[in-house]
Amino acid sequence: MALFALMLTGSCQEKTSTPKILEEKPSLFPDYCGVTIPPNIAPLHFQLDHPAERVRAQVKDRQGNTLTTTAKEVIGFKSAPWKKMLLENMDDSLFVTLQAKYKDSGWVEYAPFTLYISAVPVDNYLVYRLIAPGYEVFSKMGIYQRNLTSFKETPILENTLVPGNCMNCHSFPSNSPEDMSLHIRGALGGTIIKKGYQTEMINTKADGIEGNCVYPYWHPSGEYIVYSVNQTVQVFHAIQDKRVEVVDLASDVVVYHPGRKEIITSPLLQTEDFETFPSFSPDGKTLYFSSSKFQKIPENYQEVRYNLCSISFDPESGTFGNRVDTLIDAASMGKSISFAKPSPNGEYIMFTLSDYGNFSIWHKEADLWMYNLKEKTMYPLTEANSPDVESYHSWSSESTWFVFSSRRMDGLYTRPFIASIDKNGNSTKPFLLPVRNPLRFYSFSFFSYNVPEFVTDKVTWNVGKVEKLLTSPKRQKVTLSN
Amino acid sequence: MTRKFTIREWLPAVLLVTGSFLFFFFFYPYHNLFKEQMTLFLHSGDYFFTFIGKPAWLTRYIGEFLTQFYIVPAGGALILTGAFLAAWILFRSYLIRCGLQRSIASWIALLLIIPEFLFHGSLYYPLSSTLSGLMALGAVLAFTGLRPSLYKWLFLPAAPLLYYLTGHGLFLFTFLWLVYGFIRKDGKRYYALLLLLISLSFPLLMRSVFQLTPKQAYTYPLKAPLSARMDFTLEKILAMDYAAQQGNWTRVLFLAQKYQLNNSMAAYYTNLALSQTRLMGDWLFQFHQPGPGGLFLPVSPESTSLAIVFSNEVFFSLGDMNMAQHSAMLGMIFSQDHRSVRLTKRLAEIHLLTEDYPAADKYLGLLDKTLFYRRWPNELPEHITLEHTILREKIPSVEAIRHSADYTTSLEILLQSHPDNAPALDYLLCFHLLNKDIPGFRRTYDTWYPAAKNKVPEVYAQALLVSLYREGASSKIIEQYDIPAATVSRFIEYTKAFEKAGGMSAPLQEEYGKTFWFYYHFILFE
Repeated sequence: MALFALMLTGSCQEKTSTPKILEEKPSLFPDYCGVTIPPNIAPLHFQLDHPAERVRAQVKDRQGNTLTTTAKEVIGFKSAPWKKMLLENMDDSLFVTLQAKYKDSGWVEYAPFTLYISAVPVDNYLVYRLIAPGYEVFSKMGIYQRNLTSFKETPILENTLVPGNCMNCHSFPSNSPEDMSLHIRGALGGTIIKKGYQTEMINTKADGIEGNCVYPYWHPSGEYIVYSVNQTVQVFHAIQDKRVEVVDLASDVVVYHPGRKEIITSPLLQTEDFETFPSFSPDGKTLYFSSSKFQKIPENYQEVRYNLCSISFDPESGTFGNRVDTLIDAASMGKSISFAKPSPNGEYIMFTLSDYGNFSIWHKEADLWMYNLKEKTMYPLTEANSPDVESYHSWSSESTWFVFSSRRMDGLYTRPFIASIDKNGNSTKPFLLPVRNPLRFYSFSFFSYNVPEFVTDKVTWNVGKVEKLLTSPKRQKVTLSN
Repeated sequence: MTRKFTIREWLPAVLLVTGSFLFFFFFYPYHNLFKEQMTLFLHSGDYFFTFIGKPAWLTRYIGEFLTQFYIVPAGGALILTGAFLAAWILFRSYLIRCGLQRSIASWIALLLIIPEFLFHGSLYYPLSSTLSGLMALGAVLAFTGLRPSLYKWLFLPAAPLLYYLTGHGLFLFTFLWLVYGFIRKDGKRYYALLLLLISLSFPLLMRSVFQLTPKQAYTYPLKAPLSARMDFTLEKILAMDYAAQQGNWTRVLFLAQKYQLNNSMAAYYTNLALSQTRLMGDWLFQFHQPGPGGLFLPVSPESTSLAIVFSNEVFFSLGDMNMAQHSAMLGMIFSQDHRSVRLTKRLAEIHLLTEDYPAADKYLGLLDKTLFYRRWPNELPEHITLEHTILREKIPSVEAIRHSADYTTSLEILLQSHPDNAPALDYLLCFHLLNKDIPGFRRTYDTWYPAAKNKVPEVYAQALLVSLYREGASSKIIEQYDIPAATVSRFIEYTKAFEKAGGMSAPLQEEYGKTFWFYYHFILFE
C-alpha cells in the first residue's frame, strides 16, 4: 500500500529543482505580455514561442490570490476561476509568472509579465465574416458571432444556405443586436434589414442611383442607414510586395429610411468625386465620409486619395446641410483615409490611413489613426499598429474598447485584435481574440476575419425565415426621395 | 460445425476485388490521385473539431483520413476495393438475414455494389459517401440481431444519431430497417410509416441548425450531383496534370501526342510543357489549339472548379507570383472542402519564392501536420530547387496593375522586368498568334525577340511571313528576319494552294494542317 502511494506520488508530482531565474520576459504566442484586457473576456490561452517540455504558469494578484496551471504546450485557465480573478481585480494588474522546463537547460523562470484588468467590460459579442481571401469569386463564407466571455462561436448566416452568394457588410445601430443590416451579393442578392423581430429583404438599387448600397452605417436612432454606393473594379499588382486593389469607378453616399423605404441624398454627396465609407456622429447630426477627387481608373489609381469630410444632417426632417467640411486634408499629405468611425462618446474619430485608394486591407502601410474632435488633431495609434496591415475597426458601445483587423501574423489572413483607448486617447497594447489553442487555431484557418463589429448581446433571428426571404424572388423596392 | 463455402458464393467477391483493384490501379488511377491532392488531412485535435458542425462528420473525417493514402495509385485502389468488399459482405449478410439463399445473396450484393463502383468514377464523389453507406449497413445488421421490441424502439434514438454521424446513411438504414421489419412482420404498418416520415423529415427539421439547403440536408456528405459515368477523357487530362506536377514535361508531351485530345485543359498542359521544353515556337501547331483558352484557363464565376484549380500552374511557371497566388487561393476555395494539400504546397512555394516567410511558414506549418508532406520542404528534388532559383529571377520588379484576365499586360510586365524570360515571351507571342492578332505578334516580336538571339522558330517564321506579306515588305526587310528559305518557299506554295482551294480547308488539311497559316485561315476559337 505504502509502495503504491509512493508510486502515485511520484507519478503525479513534477520533480522540480529550483528554477533558474531569468531577467527576460517570456516570448509568447499570442503576445499577451503587458496587455490591457476587459474584465469579462474569456480566458487568455497562450504558449511559449520556443517549445518546452513542460510549462507552469501562475497568475497572482496583489492580495496574493493565485491561479496556477501546468501544461505541455498551451497554457489555459478554467473559465470560472479566471472570471472571478478578473472581476476581483478590475482596474488593477495581475502578474503572470511562467516557468518552463527545457530539454537542455532544465527549469527556468521568466520575469513576470502583467495583465492589466480594465474596469470597463467590452461588449459581450463580436460579429465578423469568415471568408477565404479569394477576391472576385466566392465559395464558402459566413457571418458568425463569438461570445467574448467564452469561446463559443455560432453562425448567424452561412452561405451554404444560399450557395454561390456572397454576404458582407453587416452593420448594427449603436452596437445593438436588435437591428441589423446585411448585404448579399449574387443571384439571390439584396439587403436584409432586421428591425427587432421583423426581417425584410430589400433591393436598395433605387431608380436614379447608380448601383446597390454597399458600406452601411446606422443612425444612432435606428431610423436611418447611410450607405455608400460603389461601382468597383478589381485589379492586381505586378510586384510581390503588393497584391490587389479594389478601386471605385464611381461612388456616392445615400441615406436609407427603412420606415419609408426611401433613399435620401444630397447633390453634395452625389458629385463626380468619389464619396465613400460614411458614418454618423453619435448625436446623429453629422455625417462623416471619405472623399477623393475624381481620377481616371485604372491609370491614376495611385492618385486616388480620400480626405475625411463631414456634412450636417437633420434627423427630424431627413435633410442635409448645404456645405461639406473637410476635417482632414489627407490628400495634401499624400495619404488616404478610409473607415472613419466616431467613438460612441463623440470624442474621437478612428480611421485607417494608407498611401492611396480605399482598399487598405491589402496595404501593408495602412495604420490606425485617431482624430480628436475637440482639439482637431490627428495622431497614430502607435501601440495598436504593426509593420503589416491594420484596417477595418469598430468601437465597443462604451467607447473604451475597439476591435480591428490586422494581417500582422502572416501577411495574408486578417485576424481580430482588441485594444482599449486610455484617458489620453492612446491605444493600449492590443490582444488577439482569445481561443482555446491559439497557434493551432489561427495557423490552421484558411479564413480571414472580416468586418469585426461589437454587439452588446447575441444576435437572434429566425434562420428559416431569412432563408425564405433570400430564396424568394421578392425584394421590396426602395424609392428615391424627391 | 463449420460450413463449406461454395465457389458460387464467393465468386462475386473474387470478381469484385480483382476487378475493382485492377481497374483503379491500372486503368483509372488519376482520379484518385487528384482526390488526394484536393484534401488536406491534418493530424491534430483542432482539425477534428472542424468536422463536427455539419452532418456526416464521422464518415467525412474517416473518409478524409483514408483519402490521404490515395497518394499512390495502389493506395486508392486498395482502399476502394476494401470498401466495396466490406459493403458486399454487409449487404450479403443482410440479404441472408432477410431469408435469401447464400449464393443468390452473394450475386445480388454484387449487383448492389456496382452503382457505388460507378459513382467513384466521378471526381467529386467522396469516399465518405461510401463510408456512410457502410455505417448504415453495419447499423442495420446490428439491429437485425435485436429482439423485436428493441428493434422497433431503438430506431428513434438511432436515426438522429446516424444522421449526425453519416448524413445520407440514414436513408439506407431506414429503408433496410423497414424491409427487414416487413419481412419479419414486426409491428404495425402505421408505426413503420410514422418512422419513415420521421426519418425523411429529420434532415429538414435539422437543416436550419446546420445551415443547409434542403438538397444539401438530404445528400450530405455528397456535395456534387451523382454521376455514374467513368470519364476517361478527364482521366487522361488528370494524367497530364499529374505528370506536370512531377515536372515531367516530356511525359506531358508524350501523353499529349498519344491522347490527341481536343480539349482546352489538355491544350493548357501541352502548351505549358512546350513552353518548359522551349519547343513552343516550333511545335505549337503540332497539337490541337482551341484558341487563347489553351494558354490560360480563365478564372471567373462561370469557370469550373477544376479549371480554377489548374489555373495557377501557368502563372507559377512564368514567374507571375501574384497571379499564381490569386489563382491558387481561388483553387483552394473551390476545392470540395476548401482545403487542398496540392494548393497548400503551391502557396508555400510561392511565398518561399517571394521570400514572404511568415506566409510561407503558415503553409509549411500546415504541411507539417500531414502524414506524407511533413518532410516535403526538405525533400524537394534538386531539379525543383534549381527551378525555384530560376523562377525567383523571373518575378516582376516593374510595378503596374492589370485585370486578372488581362494576360497581355501580365506577360508584358514579366518581360519588362526580365527580357530574358523566354517562357513569358513564348506565351506572349503565342497568345497573339492564337488570337490571330498579327500586329500584336509583330510588335512583340520586334520589341522582345531580337534580345533572345535565337534562330527563328518555325511557327514564328510562319507568322512573320504573314505579317511581312500583309505590309508588302521588301525582300531586304524579309532577309533581316533570317527566316529559313524552306519556310519562305512553303509559304509561297501555301498561298497558291489556298487560292486554288477557294476557301475550302479540306484540300489544305493534310499538307498544311499543322501550320499557323492554316490556323489563321480556318480554325475557329472554342
